[in-house]
Amino acid sequence: MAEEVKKTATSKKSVETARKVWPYVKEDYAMAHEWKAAGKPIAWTCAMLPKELLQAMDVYPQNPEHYGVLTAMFRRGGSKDPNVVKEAVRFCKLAEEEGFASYNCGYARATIGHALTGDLKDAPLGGLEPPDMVITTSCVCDQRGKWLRYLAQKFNVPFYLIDFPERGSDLAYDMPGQRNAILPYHSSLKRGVTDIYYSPPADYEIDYVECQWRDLAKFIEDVTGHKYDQDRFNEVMDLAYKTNELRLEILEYRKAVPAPMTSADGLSVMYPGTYTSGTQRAYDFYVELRDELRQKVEDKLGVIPDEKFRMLWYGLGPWFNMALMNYFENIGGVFIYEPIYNLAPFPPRTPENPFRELALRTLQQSGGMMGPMGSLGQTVSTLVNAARDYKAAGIVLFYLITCRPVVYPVVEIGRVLEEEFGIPSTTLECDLVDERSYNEAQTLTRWDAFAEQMLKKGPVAY
Amino acid sequence: MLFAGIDVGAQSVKVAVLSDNKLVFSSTTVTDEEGGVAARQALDKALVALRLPLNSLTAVVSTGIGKDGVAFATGKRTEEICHSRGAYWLFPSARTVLDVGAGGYRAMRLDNRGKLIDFANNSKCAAGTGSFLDAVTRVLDTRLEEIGTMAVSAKKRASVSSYCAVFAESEIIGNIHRGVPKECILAGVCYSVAERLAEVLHRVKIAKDIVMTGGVAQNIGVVKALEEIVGLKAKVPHEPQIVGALGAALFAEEMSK
Amino acid sequence: MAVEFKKWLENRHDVVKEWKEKNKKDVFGCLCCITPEEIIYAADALPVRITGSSEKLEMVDSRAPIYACPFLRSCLDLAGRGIYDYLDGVVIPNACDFTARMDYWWRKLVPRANPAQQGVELCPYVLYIKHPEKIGGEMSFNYLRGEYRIFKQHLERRRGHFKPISDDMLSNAISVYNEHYGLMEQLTQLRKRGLVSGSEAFEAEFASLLMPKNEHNELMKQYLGEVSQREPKDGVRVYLLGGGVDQISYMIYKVIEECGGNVVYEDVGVGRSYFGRKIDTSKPPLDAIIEHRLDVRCPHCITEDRFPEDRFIFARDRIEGANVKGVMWFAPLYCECRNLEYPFTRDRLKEVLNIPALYLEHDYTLEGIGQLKPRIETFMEMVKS
Repeated sequence: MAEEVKKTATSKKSVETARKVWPYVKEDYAMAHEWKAAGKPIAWTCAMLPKELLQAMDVYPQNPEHYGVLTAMFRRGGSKDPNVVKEAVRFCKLAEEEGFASYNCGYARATIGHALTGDLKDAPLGGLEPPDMVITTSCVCDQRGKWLRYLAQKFNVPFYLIDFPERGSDLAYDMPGQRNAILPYHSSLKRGVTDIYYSPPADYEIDYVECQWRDLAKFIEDVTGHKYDQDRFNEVMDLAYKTNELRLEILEYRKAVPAPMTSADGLSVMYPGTYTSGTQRAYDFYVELRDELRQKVEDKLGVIPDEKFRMLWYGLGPWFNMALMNYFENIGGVFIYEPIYNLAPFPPRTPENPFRELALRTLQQSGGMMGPMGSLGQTVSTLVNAARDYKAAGIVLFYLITCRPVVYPVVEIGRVLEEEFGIPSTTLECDLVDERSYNEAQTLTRWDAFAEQMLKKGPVAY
Repeated sequence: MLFAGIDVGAQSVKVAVLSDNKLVFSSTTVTDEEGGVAARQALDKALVALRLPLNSLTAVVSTGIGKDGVAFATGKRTEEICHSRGAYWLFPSARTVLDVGAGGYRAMRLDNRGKLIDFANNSKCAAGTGSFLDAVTRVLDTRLEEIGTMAVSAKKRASVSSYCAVFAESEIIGNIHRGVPKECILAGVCYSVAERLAEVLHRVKIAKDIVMTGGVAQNIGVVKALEEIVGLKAKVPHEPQIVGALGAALFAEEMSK
Repeated sequence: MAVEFKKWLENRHDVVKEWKEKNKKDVFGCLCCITPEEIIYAADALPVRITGSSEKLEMVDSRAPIYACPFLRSCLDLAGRGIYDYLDGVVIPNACDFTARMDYWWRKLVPRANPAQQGVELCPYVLYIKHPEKIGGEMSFNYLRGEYRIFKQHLERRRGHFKPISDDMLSNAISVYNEHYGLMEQLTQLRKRGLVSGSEAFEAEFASLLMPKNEHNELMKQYLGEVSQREPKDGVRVYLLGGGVDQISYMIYKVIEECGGNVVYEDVGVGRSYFGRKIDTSKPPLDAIIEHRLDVRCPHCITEDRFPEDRFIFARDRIEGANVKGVMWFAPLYCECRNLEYPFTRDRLKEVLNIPALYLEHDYTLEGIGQLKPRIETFMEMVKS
């Protein structure tokens, strides 16, 4: 029987370079299939694990997390028939039937379901290739340790967890008398400064992570027989460093008024840097993006002709319906920045000990003042600073019901931004890939009321 | 000797009476009475219908959500156990039993001797239960009995894809506002209920034959949708709602042996 | 007179306040069993477990999202309402994503004035411990030593006075705690013999979370003497896994008993359920405590095994020889750590030991736990035959 279905769509592109992300992604998956066919090792890993060591040791990283995103965009067999459910929904159901609760991360459920089908190839882009090992981290959330451990168990392959301590003990943003204890926002600091945190990582913490990076190199040697080569590692680290510098430069351009790039594109162009860091392709991609943005800013070309209000997007992308992020554009509202998978300056290069350098970097990622990777107080202060830097007048908070680290700070962010700057907020409440949790009528009613409020309200005085 | 089973459900009381391993009486009474009182009344009616004195029953076993309130019962058994027993007695080929009542639904797996080896229940949400269908009849101004036939007559199925009952209700209202025909919405509703049911079925790893029991099994729209989803035919007894009571009566008989 | 543990279950706050008043000592609240209680005890303070209540939530909804562990939300609500104002400090380990963030909320909802210098608190009220997520091996040992040393320093600087915690003080605490672990092992043996029910054992153990272990040890010796005289009585033997179990939600033990079952052993984040062995007294005391704590199989942690089977092996070792018929999960809603390890562990239990499992989710309300009863009854009938 034919079915009337929910309308979902992809987002509009605001920059030309963003159109190149999709071919880039396709190429990545095609290369993975070739890699596997040639009998070379594949590791399943995740966004928060820098890929440099894997690249340097000829292990091809595939990311279930990113694959979760893809399953939200495609129907089975590439069908365009809206009666065929999205792959994410098909896979999530399989995971739930296996006993995984529906409150688990959509990425986790979708990729567990993908694994449970028993036929990885019958999926978008030919699916993930079966892993030879699974390497994950404790960073950001509890899910990625346990979900990837399950996948390792399922495929019966060696598993490695690298633990990046998530440092707590931060002071609350608006604790009376302690306001000045919050250090400045990371991106306004001088590049290469290592102690940009409220308290710098202690030696025992750096030692801990450094030992694990070394141990991981041994693990890969054991599993693959590939030898670790420091010179090769340093080459990759150099490229990753240069790429990050470019990405920080891009962020500076994104602060311009009118906004040269949307958050929807921001969430899309993070792909090369997040999943293929340390490659020439990633570097080249950002050179092109930087040049395009520089030109747009010089020409004062905005995303929309008449920019009336600027908004921050808090949380990940609603991947099954990215068109939502263009919703306010016809009335002059634009999402200018999305502080997630955020960037911080890398510590200076130390080629004599790249492991320690990487340890320092990963500790800064997990303990830094960046989105949900840090603790709750750091997340709130990141958003406060981002609102000021990007001259935001409003914020949409993704009340991501299946992602604990994203959802926990939501109430506090909304409250602090309102009290601090009078910035209003609204929410989107659902999972990031499983559209069964999304209620269009309820969402758009809220958003329309928010749009009216934004249009009435003048610019925010920072 | 006579044995009775009483199933005190969320909306109605079901009675089954067995004699010589034969079902001699069954009834369903919708009631607002408190469980114990309702059970007594339903059983009295049964005995009156059978023209028997009130003390002629050898044993009575209660089941259902209100089983503990039946003070005169000689034994109690859970719904999962009773529905499995009843379904297996009716269909010895039953390996998977799905009971869908007003207050909840459950899937049971049986081995080839009818022994329960696994079961799964609905989550707290009302989506997929008979009560949800009841709520739908109010929103759509229709009768419960009509839902199934109207749903199968639809040419198109409206989208009711939310897995939350509250969200689903707002989706239905959205469909009404868009002018989607009633039968299409009902087809969507039946399909969404069937999807919930398929979920618990998969949890116990489906094996043939599937027997569907409980009041919702009378809804042809839900049964057809479920068969479409799981790709297997479901056996539905003549009076699916009394299978729990029947199972209880079988236990009553067994107890007296 | 027979030993009664009821007052610790029924009036947990009053009992602790009374003790504090009488002994004029500091009381520290702990959120999780991975807290190094021995160090607090050595610092001459009383570590007590933070638990929730069945009262309606009053203020937590306006500050923390609803999609979170109902047990911890209840704890936080009590804190925000001032019920925990008698605590002199709160120890928050990163036992899960939500517990780790309690660090922030506790400071915000229960503010305390603390001297700060350049953003560094000298005597913090909330002490955060980042327990390694990967356990086992030298790396996590060295790291946790760093964390515990800072933790110890904070305790030594309480109220702005420096009072060192010597190795002797630590060793003394270890011997008291070892006696406790030994007594709890005896209690477990009595459970396996059917002399003590699961709910009784929980009550006895729960009291130990609210009083100094030396006092509890005395009570336990008397209690063990009493119960060992009993006649054995048993139900269908069940192994319980879960979380958010406290003086409210331990009702699950009673519901299981009402359905003809009996919990003979558990893994629910309360005291004994994790500490299978004593602290090694042949090592320097702080190192021994660290080693002991790294042995805790909290569902948040992952062992460093290449082919990890953590929860299954842990369960298998515990139920060996206990004639367990079924395994039950009793996990709070939104407890990802427990849920994510369930399918694999369930399958292994079935494949290797042929023991079936039942997964129950609880919303930390008495009503919600009561509603689980029919399913427990069916499960009992299923495993009995």
